[in-house]
Amino acid sequence: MKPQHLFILTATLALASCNRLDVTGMFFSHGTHTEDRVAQWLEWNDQHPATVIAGAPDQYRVYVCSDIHLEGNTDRVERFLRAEGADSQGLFSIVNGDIANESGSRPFRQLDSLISSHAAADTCFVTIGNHDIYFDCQQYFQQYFHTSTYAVTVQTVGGAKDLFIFLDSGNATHGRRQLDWLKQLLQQRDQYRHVVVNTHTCLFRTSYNYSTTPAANLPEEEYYELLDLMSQHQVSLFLMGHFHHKEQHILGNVPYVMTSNLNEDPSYLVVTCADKVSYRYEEI
Amino acid sequence: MKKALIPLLLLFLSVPAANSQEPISKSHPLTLTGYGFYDFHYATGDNGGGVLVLDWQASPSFKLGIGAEYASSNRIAARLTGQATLLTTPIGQRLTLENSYLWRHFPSLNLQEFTGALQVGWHARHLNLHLGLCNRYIAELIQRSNGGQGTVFEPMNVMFAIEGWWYNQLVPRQWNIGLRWSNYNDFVIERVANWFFSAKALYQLPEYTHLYAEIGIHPVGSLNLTASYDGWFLHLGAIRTF
Repeated sequence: MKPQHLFILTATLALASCNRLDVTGMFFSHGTHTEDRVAQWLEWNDQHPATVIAGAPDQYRVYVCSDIHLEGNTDRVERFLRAEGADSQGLFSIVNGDIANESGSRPFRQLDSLISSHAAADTCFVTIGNHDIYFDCQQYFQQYFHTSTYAVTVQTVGGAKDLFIFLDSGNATHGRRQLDWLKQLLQQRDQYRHVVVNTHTCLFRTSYNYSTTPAANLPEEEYYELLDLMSQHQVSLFLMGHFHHKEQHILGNVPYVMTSNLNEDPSYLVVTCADKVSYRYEEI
Repeated sequence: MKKALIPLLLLFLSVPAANSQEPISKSHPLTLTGYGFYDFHYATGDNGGGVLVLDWQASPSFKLGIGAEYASSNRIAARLTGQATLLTTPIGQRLTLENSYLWRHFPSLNLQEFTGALQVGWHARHLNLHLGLCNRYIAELIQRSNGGQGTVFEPMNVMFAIEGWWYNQLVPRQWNIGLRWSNYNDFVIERVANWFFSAKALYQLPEYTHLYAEIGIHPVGSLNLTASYDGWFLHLGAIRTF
């Protein structure tokens, strides 16, 4: 056997046996498809009341991170959750996808336990990311976090209402069912002071990070439809992760903000909701 | 030099996404390609339309092409392509450099997109290879005209196409079939990890006319995302040389 053939064979076997990189999943989805998963999320929503956070101050803060890729060391996630808990104006935190970096239930169990122990007063909302569906892991996401297509309403003492929407883009598409659900929800835009949309997969391909290149985006048709939907309804903030670096754009008057990860460039986003929505990055 | 000029310069150094079937003789320097298409996307629905591309072999080593597309999903597009042949081997294999500019307008979305691309191509007996880069501006023009920030610049997206033909494509034949793997087609340039897989066929009629068909799938997600089915497409048309 030629050395080149031996190298290819070894590399293939190494990748195929890896518990971090789902090689076959790069080409074929062997877990649930987006449509089936969204159907499961919406079914769970139907059986449980939507989350409403009442009595919030008129100005409050939300802490957002993504791509935590839990691999044993939970220090940075704990610091993120502690920072939100210690902020007197902190209302809740968000982990915007990619909890896991390997197969199995451990990362999901770990995050669930961290949220329970560090955010006793407040809560943490979670979306699913592409790594969370590798190796058919969505069953563990479902077990601990139940849904990734849902909305949370915040009612402030001054009578304002804000809407936080959470989406599943784990397969690089939101799917027909979820887009329909989103459109329906955005029809009620005028009832809310602010609408903040969260999804894992970044819409844009404006810069490169060696560790996530080449990572996929949404297909073009869907990407343009989503951009238009956001500007039509004047969404206050669109939050994304996936590419492990910080990025901000404004298109159609809508700010699109990407959070970094908690490993290579550890930081999170602090979003302030008052008369206007503003945000800043905090390094860890 | 102002920083803003750098992307502009890169843009002018960039794109063409030329179709690779073009045996044009000196006596027939014009080629007109026309096809209708049907595109189905699972998330966003279906989409039909038509494409017309006119190529002019201006000299043995330079070809200029203009094209237009209309899609029922409320998309119109235009493309300008220049292709220079850098090298031709005795058996007719060619090394090419292609530069194209693609403009797309989505009237219902208030969005416009302008892409510039530069590609190197190798056209052999059974194989066409293309590799290049493209830069893209996405603009929300109404927002721009109101003085707002309405532009996103996506630089250095890799474009590739690997196309294999069953029979030697450098020799005229009655028919030929091929397979193609790429991240772009005539009027759509996806990001590098969003692929098109397709099968193509050409059938020669008399009088310098070929019938052309292409059918393919367009999965979403690959490489760093688990892949899921998104859609399929069909192109049917003809290529005529004058």
